[in-house]
Amino acid sequence: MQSRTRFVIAAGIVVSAIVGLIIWSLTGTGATAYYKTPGELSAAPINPGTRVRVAGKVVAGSVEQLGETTNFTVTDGKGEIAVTTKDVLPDTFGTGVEVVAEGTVTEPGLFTASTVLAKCPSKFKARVASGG
Amino acid sequence: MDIASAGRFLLYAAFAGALMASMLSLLGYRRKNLGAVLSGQRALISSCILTGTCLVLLIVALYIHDFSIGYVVSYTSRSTPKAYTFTALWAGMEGSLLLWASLTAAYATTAVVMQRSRRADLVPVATAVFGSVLAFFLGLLAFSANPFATISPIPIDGKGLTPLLQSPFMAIHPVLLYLGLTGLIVPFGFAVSALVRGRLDPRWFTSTRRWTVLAWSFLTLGIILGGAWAYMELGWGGYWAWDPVENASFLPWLTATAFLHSVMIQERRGMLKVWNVALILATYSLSLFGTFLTRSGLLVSVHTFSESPVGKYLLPLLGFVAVGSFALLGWRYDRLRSDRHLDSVISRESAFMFNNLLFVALAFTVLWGTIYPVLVEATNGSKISVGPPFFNSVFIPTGLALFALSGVGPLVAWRRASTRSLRRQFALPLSMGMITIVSLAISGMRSWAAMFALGLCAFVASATLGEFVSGARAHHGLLNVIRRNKRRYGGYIVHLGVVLIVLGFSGNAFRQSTTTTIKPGMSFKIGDYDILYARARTFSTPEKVVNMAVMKVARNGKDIATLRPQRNFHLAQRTPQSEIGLRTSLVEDLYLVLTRMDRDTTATVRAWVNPLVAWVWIGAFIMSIGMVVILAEREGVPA
Repeated sequence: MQSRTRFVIAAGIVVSAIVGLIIWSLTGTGATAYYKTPGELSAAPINPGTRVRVAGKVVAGSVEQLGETTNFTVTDGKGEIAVTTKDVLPDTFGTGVEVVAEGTVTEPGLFTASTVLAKCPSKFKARVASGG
Repeated sequence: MDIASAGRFLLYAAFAGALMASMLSLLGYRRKNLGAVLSGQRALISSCILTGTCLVLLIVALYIHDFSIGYVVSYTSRSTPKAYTFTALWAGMEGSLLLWASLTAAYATTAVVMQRSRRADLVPVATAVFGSVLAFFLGLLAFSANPFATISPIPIDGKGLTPLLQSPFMAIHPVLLYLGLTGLIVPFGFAVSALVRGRLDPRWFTSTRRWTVLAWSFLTLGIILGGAWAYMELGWGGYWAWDPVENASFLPWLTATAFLHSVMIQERRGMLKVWNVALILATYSLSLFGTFLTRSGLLVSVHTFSESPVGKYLLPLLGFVAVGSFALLGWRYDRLRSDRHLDSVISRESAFMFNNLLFVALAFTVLWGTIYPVLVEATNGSKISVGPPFFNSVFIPTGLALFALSGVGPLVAWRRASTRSLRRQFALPLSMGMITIVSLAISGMRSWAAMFALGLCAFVASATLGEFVSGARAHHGLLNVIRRNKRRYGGYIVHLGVVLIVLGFSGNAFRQSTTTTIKPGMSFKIGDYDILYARARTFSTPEKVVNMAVMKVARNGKDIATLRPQRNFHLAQRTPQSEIGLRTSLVEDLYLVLTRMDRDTTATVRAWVNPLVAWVWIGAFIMSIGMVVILAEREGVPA
């Protein structure tokens, strides 16, 4: 029985170490980001510096390319937010495409994105076209 | 009769067959009626044949451009290359489900046919389990997500296949994943059967071991090829992003890998009976969870496939399988006591048990990170996402500890290791590891994680190679010893592959990247490379308009390569698509993405230098050799 007890103690230490690691990691920088719609962001501004993901459609005519910086506006129909990014834009990026921008609100109404991903509706299934 | 009606009819028949297989087998088991048991098996076989025929019909429909079928219209067109037309099978949900059902049926039927005389006691309930799961998927196909649904009016051409799927990796990777995930049903069915009968001697997993190893091998290679596809096609410079969809396939892999290790303890020492069953129940539940996750739209992912009604049907199945199977385990718990207990904490059993603990902890971490957003949203309504930093900071230390155990395991004896033997066994591998770390530190390496990982690579590699050397000495030659014990040495070969993969991962600590906007004739630098944008080329093919930047790469003043990253516009899908320029070597990859090309040929290029990536793919190749060796072992031969 003694070996068994020892194993249980050792296993207990390992498990608590990992649980501690999980909790610690969840609070680390960039580990989690809030998911907000442009509407929510314009209705209830959040603290600058909070990591946020914004999902919405790229507004027609809003895309502006200045060297490596791209500025554009995303909307969810209820609100709009201006996004500026130096990230490489996804292949499918363009007017009307649904994108997910991750970054921080730097000043009210302006979002600086470190990454921009396209929620590519056509990749596996045309959501609108066939309706599931 | 046209293909669409034939397909629909066969689907209904296959569904009925699966249902009958399940009911007859159960009835036969309860009443001890051999006739019913045999009819159940026949029903399963016919359901399998019918499902397979449906799959063939859908492939034929894709190739002959039968545009009366909605699925064919949605995912192919007349200009879709013939070589990739069949990949449309997994471009959409209906096709993927049909493939899933066909592979499940094929695995289940093969297992039943091969085991029915040898394991007559376990087969009936297993057949009932197979029949039920199959009936569920076939019912879903027949009544909710029918791939043979017709449309009218019949269009002249289809919408075409997304260019992302038109890659050799995408022709293999999803099939391998499916072959892996579906194959896990075989050990699951036999485990449930053993539970129902209340006897957990090792026969339930020895008789299904080859299926488990086979499924696990497919899953492993499928995951790695998925990474390779992301690396070659998606153009973000990496191969793994902890996306929920990636996690979905990784979760069952973690528990299945734990299972493959822990069954060895039950076989050798009669321990961990309950644990082993629990692992395989969890593994199949997680494999269904993955399917549910990718199909439900529950989580926001870059590549969640689609929100669809199928998600809400999969959840009850998942709940039924997970809750039901574990309830069964709880009910039988008192009958499943171990024959023996652990003799010492310093023993091979103990190393295996810690291995399992870490694998399960990793699975829990991935599961937690994947469903955490759902839990948070349920509690306080705010939507959050969990990013790669979380996974990396848990995974790197835990994964390295697990990796270290793969070196420790072979060095400690079963039952109880003496201090003297430990000292003798560890001396060489441990010094190899230390030497590696010290020399890397002297040569100026700064990343502690990478240094430690590389030191562990040396430790695990020498411990494992030491096993080959001592085995070869004892049994007259390397090939001889491998032939005599294929499972053990095949496993070690897999471990050597893992060493190389960890070597490749450690290169991530030294990645460099830069983005630049240049005109032809200009150049930029990254790492040791001078990259000259020589000229732009633009031309059209029937499918796409190609924009190519011709880049001359020089290192230390010497021309070494010409790379041609492209940004193409696919006409049928009206989407742009990048093709990367890649120069790969054993030391590092130079990876160029053309992110933009203006009319005046000004190009925006993102460049990466990714050290050691090639070793990930080489490691995967070594792993697959090990898998073949393990699979060559005949059943019933002890370890």
